[in-house]
Amino acid sequence: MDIQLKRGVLEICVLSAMRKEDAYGYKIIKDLSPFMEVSESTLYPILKRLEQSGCVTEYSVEHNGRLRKYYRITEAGHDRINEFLNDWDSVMRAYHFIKGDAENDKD
Amino acid sequence: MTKIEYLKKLKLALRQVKNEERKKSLAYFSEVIDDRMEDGIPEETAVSELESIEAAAERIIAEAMTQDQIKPKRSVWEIVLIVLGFPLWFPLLLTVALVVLIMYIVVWILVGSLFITSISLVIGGVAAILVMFFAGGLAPAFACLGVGLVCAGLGVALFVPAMFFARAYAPATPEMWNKLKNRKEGIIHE
Repeated sequence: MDIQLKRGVLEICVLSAMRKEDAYGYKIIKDLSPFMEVSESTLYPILKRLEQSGCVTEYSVEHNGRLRKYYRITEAGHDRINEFLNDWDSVMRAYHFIKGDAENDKD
Repeated sequence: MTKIEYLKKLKLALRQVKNEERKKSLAYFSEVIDDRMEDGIPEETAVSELESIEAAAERIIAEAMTQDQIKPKRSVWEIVLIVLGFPLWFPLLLTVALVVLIMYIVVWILVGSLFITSISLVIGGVAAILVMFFAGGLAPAFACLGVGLVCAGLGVALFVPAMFFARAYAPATPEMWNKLKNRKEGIIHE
C-alpha cells in the first residue's frame, strides 16, 4: 500500500480504538491486532502526531507503581474519523470507476 | 536483552533528539514493555518482540525531524573551543563540584557538633551532680547540684534543635545520591 495512504488509515484506526474508552499504548496495539499489525514503534509517532494535531489529549495515571499514559479522543478527533468516512465514499466511487475501466480494457 | 538494556541502547541511538522528546519516547517504550510483562510475557520475550532498536530509533528520529526536535549540530568551531578550553573549564567545574561537596560536609559537621555539645553538656551535668556528694560542705554541694542541673538541662534542650536540623537536612543526602546515580545510569522514569 502507498505509504501516505497507509499512514492516514492507521491514524484513523488508532483514533477509532479509543472511541469507546480512553486507551493506552499497549491496549491500542492489542485492540487493533485482529485487524492490522501495528508495532509499538509505529504507534508512537502516530500518537504523537494525533496529539499535536489536537485529535487526542493525553494524561498519566498511576498503575502498579508506575505511570501509564492514557489517550482520549477529542472533538477534533471525532471529526477526523467522520471526515475519513465521508472521503472514503468518494474514494470507493473512484475505485469502482478505476476497476470498471480496467475490466473493460481486458475485454 | 533486558528492558533496561533496551532502553539504554535506544537512548544512545536517540542522542541527536532533543532531551524532552527523547525522554518522552523512552517513557513510552518503558511503559509498553512493562505492559507486555504485566500481560504475562517474560521480560526477554517482551523486549525481543519489539522492533529492533535501529528501526525504532529511525521512526522516532524521522518524526522528530518534522517537528524541529533534533538538537542543533555543534559547529567545528564550538568543538575546537570546547577542546582548547579544557584547561579552563575543567578546573572550574572541578572547583564548583568540590565547593558543593565541602559545603555539604560543613553543614553535617555543624549538625554533628550540635549533637556533641548537647551530649557533653548532659554528661558534664550528670558528673557535676555526682560530684556534689564529694564536695565537702553544704554550699559547694548545692553549687555543684545547681551547675549540674543547668548543664544537663541545657544539654537536653539543645538536643531538640540538633534533631530538628539533622532531620531537615537528612533528606538532602539520598536526593543528592539519587541525582548522581541517575546521571550515571541515565535511565529516566518520568
